[in-house]
Amino acid sequence: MDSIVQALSCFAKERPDRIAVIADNEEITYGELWKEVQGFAEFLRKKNFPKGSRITVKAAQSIWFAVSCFGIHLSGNVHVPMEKTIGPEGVVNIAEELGASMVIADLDIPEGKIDAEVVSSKDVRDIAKENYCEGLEFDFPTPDMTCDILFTTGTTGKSKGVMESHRAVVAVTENVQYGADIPKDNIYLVPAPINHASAIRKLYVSILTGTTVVLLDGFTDIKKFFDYIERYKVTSILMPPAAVRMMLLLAEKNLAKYSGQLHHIHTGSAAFPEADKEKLCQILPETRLYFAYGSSEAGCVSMYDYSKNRGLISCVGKPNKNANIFIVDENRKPIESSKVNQGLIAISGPVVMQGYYNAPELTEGILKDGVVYTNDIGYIDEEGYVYMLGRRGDVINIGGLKIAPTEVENVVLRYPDIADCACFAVADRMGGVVPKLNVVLKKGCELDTAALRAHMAKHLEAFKIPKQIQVVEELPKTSNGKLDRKNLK
Amino acid sequence: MLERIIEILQGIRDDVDYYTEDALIDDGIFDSFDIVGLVSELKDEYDIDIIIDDLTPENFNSAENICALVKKLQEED
Repeated sequence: MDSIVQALSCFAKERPDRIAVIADNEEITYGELWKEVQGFAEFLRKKNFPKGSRITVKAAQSIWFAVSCFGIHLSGNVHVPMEKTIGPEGVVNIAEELGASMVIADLDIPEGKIDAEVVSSKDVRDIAKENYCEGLEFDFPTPDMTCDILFTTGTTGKSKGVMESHRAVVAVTENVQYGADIPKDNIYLVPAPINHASAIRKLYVSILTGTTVVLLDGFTDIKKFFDYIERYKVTSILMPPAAVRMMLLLAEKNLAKYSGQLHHIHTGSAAFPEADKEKLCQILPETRLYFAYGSSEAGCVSMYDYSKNRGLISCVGKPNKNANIFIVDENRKPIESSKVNQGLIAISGPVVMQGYYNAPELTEGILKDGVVYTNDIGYIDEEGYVYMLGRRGDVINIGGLKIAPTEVENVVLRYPDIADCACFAVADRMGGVVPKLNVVLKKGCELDTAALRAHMAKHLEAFKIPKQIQVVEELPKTSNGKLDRKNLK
Repeated sequence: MLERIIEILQGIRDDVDYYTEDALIDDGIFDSFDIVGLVSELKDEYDIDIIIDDLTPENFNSAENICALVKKLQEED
């Protein structure tokens, strides 16, 4: 299969009545979706845009989004999903930056503000139906053509557009498929924003496997989340670490009820506390629990079923079908790594991105000769399991001895009185650095520092035990709920 | 009760006019973790049990709606 839209056309013939996408209390079958996708592609073809034109789409958890996405792919153009919360100014800026030919959004953008043609997202499905007729013929996109540009905020804070070819999109999607062994009758609940790499890949994996995806607008409506699991007989869920934490805090018993129904839960894209993994294993004993490692630049390169392999701290599994993982030194030279000889994780294979859009220097900083060089510190053990211990910038270096903050945090989070914590470097009086630990206590708990130190001493080498421990009300978080390490003090 | 609930909400974010704001969830002013914190505070403050069926955006979109939810749960108790 050369593209996801090609898989869609195959399943439209094979199982036309199977539901492809459910959103906003509406559903669309493979047969209907394929017709609308062809109609929308025909609408785009009539525009005579040059091949490979960028079409930006203000994302939404809706069926029209799937129609426009695959219609853009089928017409040979490049799909650029944007945040659902983006305002008119952001839409105009991104469209200009990309030289977009068309913008699809539910916003009023004053005429003359933008060179691109603006189509209302409300009109996408009507346009698709109007332009569909029997006998439309299209050449499917070829593997080297750019499929999507996904925007990601890197550590520099500047937004980068990750260009993925159809080959990479299929390769990453196959990794999700084979890594989780997606069942033939799977029903995937995706409550994360659909423009995010991890979410759009669940739409793609559902289409690639001819199964069903249910799109839900976020996790804040917890009642709806459980209503959907019940109503649509959901069998797998995409849950980022922050959502897992929220469910464990608010709805542990409700989630536990679905252990027999849920084939798997897919988590990824951020550090995932070991304590939360253990809790999920306890409440969902019949469910496979995957942690996926990857990024927008090289997606889903490994997966780890932590419900089966207990106790491998910081393990991200073995490389998936379409990815090679190896460890390099500071000079990008491959090394034989081990727990005591760690390096930086590098990735090659068809999953690798084409580069950042219009940013050759940024691209060179991470991608060379088909290899993505990450800032993730890790190693591969004798059995081939990959371990990811943290980001290079976060590592605390004490006279050559290195401490991955996540290793310390995972130990501390197992201590019963601790709700949350962060380990980071602070300057000491001698001009060097020492590790410091900020902890948020569970309600009603008081910190017994000596007992916490004794707990850490059982699991960590002496130099990794923080010299300073401070109780704080809360930890700084980024806008998407991840720990904001830059603002710890 | 409304005054006390607004105090609790100000503890989460103090840059919102809780007397007029009616889309705390719909407009993304509160995220998932704010809801977790708020639910925990309401449980402690009013000794109520908030279950999944109560965790809808409508119930948490405004101080007034949160107040109505707490009163309803107190009456049911």
